[in-house]
Amino acid sequence: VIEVETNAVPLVRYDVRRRRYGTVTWLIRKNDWFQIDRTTDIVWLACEDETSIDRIAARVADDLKIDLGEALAATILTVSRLQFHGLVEDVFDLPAEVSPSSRSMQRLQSE
Amino acid sequence: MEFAGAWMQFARDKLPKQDFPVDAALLDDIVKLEAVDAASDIAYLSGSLVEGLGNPWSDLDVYVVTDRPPVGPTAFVDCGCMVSIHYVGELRVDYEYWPTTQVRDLADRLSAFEPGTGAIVNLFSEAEEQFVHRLVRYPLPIAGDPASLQAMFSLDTLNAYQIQIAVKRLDSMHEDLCGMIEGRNWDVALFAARELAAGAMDVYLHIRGNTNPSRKWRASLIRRYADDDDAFVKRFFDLQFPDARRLKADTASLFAYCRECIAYHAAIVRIAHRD
Repeated sequence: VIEVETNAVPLVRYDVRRRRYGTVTWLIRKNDWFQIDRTTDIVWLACEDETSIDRIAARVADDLKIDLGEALAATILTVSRLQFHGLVEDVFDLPAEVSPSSRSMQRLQSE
Repeated sequence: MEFAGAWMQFARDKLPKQDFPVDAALLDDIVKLEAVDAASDIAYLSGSLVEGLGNPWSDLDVYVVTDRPPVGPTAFVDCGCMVSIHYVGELRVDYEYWPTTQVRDLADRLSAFEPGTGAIVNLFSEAEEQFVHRLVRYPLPIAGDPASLQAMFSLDTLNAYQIQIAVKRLDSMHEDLCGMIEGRNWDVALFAARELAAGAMDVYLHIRGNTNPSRKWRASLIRRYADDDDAFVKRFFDLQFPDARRLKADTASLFAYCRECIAYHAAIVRIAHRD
């Protein structure tokens, strides 16, 4: 179970860039490339705009023409995955054993 | 001289309002110095002066598309073409000689380009890209008609290529900057972040229709292609001239500045991707 504050704002990591090539969209961090689907792309762009979880969900619902409850579930799942892969700053308390490390950011913050 | 008179009228009508150092007598010299002949050559003036970007120290570029060699005493190969240099009074005149087969090859390379497909690679050297830009956008003919050459190149394709390759340049700039941040190489990161913002502005200018690949005219090109109150332009200048002493004294502020430059580049790439 993940506790979620819907006014939380997921922030994209500075070392991740989004690129589109042809019809494919990627999130790229160093040597890791993540091909992302439409939902993830909507969520990512909203994260770039520093948007809260509830507003991201509204954007997902609007863009994908789905109901808000479904959009909120999709948003939380997507942000969790982004966090798991170290693509956004930690926003949820994911279980420790699956939580991705973000050591470089911790190092910066500890300075 | 009749031709020169007609040409000067053409130049007056065509050129941006500026101090343009070419008069009829000089034009006559330019034609004679390299024996430019409409029977064998297509020749035109171009470059920063013609484009309205130059200054009193700028040289004048003459492009000669021909299969004959230069006739001047100071000719050499530079950046893939023959260059012949002359001085007329205070003005340096550079003649660039481009063989017709080479021009056709450039056109073929551009025609084969399709955005979003194949490997993202440089199709042209900077001199070649500049040649195409100047031929397509700013030729002032002095012999023959460059229209047949212009027709070989699609301006839209050139622009699409330039946007794609300029975004690719941002990729390596972003990677470099991230490495510097992670390595806590802060003074180097400060410059890299600033360069990233500058590279992003180059992408933005291409999006707005600029095809001049030269970075040195960035400020003039901003004036030409963006509005005074453009938010991206305002932010660009803020990012180009941060309070460096304050940033160097405070790592958290410097990191925040780097992040701001990265966010700026991301916002412009979104426009390039039409998001």
